[in-house]
Amino acid sequence: MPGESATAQTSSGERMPGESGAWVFFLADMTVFALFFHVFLYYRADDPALFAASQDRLNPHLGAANTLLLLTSSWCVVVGMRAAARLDASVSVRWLVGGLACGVGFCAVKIYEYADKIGQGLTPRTNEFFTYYFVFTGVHFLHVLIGCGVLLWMISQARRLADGRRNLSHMETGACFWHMVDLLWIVLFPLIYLCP
Amino acid sequence: MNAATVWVTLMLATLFSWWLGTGHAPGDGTSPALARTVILAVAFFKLWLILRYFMHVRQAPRGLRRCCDGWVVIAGGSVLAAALWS
Repeated sequence: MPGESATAQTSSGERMPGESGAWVFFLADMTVFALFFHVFLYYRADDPALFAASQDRLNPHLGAANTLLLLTSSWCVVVGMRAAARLDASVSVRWLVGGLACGVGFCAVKIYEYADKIGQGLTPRTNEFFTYYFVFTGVHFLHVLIGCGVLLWMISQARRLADGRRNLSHMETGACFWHMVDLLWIVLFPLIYLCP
Repeated sequence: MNAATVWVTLMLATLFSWWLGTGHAPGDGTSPALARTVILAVAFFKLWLILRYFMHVRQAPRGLRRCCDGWVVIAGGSVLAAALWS
């Protein structure tokens, strides 16, 4: 079934996606980012003219391209995990590599963007907007780098499926981490780049 | 809704937000607070779709479903309120 979870189903038809302990971390991390969103909106209300003028220095097209890359990456990981649940190693690896390629694409765009801003003399010390821009997107970028490492590990695990060695619960935890990285950007992008 | 349908919905919603946020709000009189709130509402809808369909929360035990839905309502509701009144 499309979108089906890779881990075992209980008698009630419910499934825990990945390991339950990891969800404590996911929800805590998401809550930290929710506080970031509030901090940004709070200080934005203090000086809307500065935030609007600074936002105009960002390139929303690059931000949108990165959003499309992360969404596509997440979808590739969903399809790759579905193949892993069928123990179809080659298909799983192919889709997970696709997901990783999109993640690497996100990193390339972000590095270009940071270099472009710093080249224009825009740094975390320029003003309050750019402090939050660099700190919040930087913390997210760190998540993406960790997520790329997680995807590499998942690819190595998917290769082992051909030998009959399964690690689906851990793999699904990794997939959930990658989706969480995606959903954090889903709010960060419009908040920083688009909101008038 | 299958994963491909969710992905297409997420991509289209992103393009809509990008269009709205790059100066294409309908009419000159559109309030920035309203445009801001709509853009963020779309973002939290996308976030909910990812939780539900990509992270498989819709099939999760009730406790996790409630935690995630509660997070979306509290975080999303408070951010939208802050965006509307800021």
